[in-house]
Amino acid sequence: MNPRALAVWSVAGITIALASANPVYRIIVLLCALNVLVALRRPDVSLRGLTIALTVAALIATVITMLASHTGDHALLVLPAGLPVIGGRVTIEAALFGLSSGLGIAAAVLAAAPLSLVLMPNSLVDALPTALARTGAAIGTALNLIPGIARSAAEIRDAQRMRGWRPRRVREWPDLAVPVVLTALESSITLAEAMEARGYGSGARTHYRDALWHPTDVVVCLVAAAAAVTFVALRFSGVIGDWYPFPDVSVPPINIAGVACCLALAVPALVWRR
Amino acid sequence: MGHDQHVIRHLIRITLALPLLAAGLGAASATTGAGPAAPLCAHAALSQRVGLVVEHGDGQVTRRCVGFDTPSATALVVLQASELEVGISSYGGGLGAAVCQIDHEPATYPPGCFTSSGSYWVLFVSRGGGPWLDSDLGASSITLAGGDDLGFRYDSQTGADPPPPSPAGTCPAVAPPSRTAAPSPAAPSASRATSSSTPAKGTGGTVESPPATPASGVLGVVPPSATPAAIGALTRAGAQPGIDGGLLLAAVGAGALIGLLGARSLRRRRE
Repeated sequence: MNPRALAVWSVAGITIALASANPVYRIIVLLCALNVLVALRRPDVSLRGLTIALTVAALIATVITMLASHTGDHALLVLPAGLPVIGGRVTIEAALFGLSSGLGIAAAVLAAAPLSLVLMPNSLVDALPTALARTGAAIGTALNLIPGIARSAAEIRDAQRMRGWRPRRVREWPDLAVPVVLTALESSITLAEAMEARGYGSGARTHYRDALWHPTDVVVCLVAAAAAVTFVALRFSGVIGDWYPFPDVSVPPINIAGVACCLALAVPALVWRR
Repeated sequence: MGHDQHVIRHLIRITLALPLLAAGLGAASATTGAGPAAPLCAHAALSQRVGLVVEHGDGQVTRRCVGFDTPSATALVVLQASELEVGISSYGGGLGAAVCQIDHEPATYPPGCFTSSGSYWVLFVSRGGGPWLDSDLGASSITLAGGDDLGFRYDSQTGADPPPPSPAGTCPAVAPPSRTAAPSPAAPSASRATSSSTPAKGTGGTVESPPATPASGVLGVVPPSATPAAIGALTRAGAQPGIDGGLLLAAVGAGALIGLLGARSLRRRRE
């Protein structure tokens, strides 16, 4: 698969997921993205962490909306009015709207996830335009440091505990934070020296091999772009609208062309093979 | 292997059940626009009257004469007593209630009531037959007395806010007009069609009002100048009879994607 074709697909998926607040379109985009991830992810990649993170994010969005929005006809319970922000009616409509927002977040993140879970980091950097190659390499490298920092934090915490460190107050956390920051800085400097030793910044980035465009890549690219453009056009022309469950829950309006645009995002899962 | 076959059977059942469920939902949603007519009401003893003029986005004007038996009432009470469908939210900060929806316009609205660029209900008040003045307060913070008029106009957020048509004649000064059948809050298009074609007759029944609200209700309905096209345009999107093709395609597509997902997951697990 061509990384640029996958990038176009991701942008199309994010666009469709966020263009309308209709949960039906978001569910279909989410399912398409899940299919692409399951079919094409790298063998060493697990989806468990991502799934848990998205579930938690969706639940947080739902709970916050339920507590902060008091609109809707059907109250589940009434919190005391004296409670700031959350005081008032907690409604079924607000819960559904929060769930719809959570679905939007999950669909958009899953649409972007193949860029990191399907492609190798070097393929992604290679796919960037020449003008963005150095910036992309720097950002990619910085992102790759995050797992290292997490591992380092776990190791330092274990070491501190073995020395009898038992944090009870916030002001005791610097005992952990300071070594983690210093270790991260040291790792960054080492990495920068390694990159410089390999010629980073001395000239244009070279490629071991060029990414070729196969017919299936062209199909994915064209279908995804057409789906996104059509969906946005339908959205701006008013054919596809938002969905709000207020004041009373209603079935989301569904446009058959909009559904077709969303389903078109499943093409990579059908034509690409890992 | 036995466990896998069990999972596959479940996935196949889900895949088959989803389109059927969606088809059922589509059929059900087609009938949700219908509902029982609201009971009629009588408010012969109400002494104070306020004219209510509601101008919709399509230019259609609905007029109601609302009566109550206390010296004053809030604009929100008058609006809710008019038997028009109303959706409200709170401005917060003591401004009072924001009117988000009247007579099912707009069909839905976000939790904050207002969209970033869409239209909204502008509130006007006319005191004792004076000119329309737009209000800086929410509907629950405006007090109206007999002889005042309350106006709403569905207007865009950009440009000037022209007032609704004159309230003259909405509430005759001498005696309330003959009462007409109260429209059903559940069927806005039906309510307008009824009010424009049903001859005047006696009313009776109850009006849903907030707690501690004085007795109030509709004393008269001025027939709106509705056209069949305008009424049709206000019908809910989900109220067409039959099964929604989009919903069916969405359900079949979602079912297929779930089935594909399950099959791929099983294949991965076996590998």
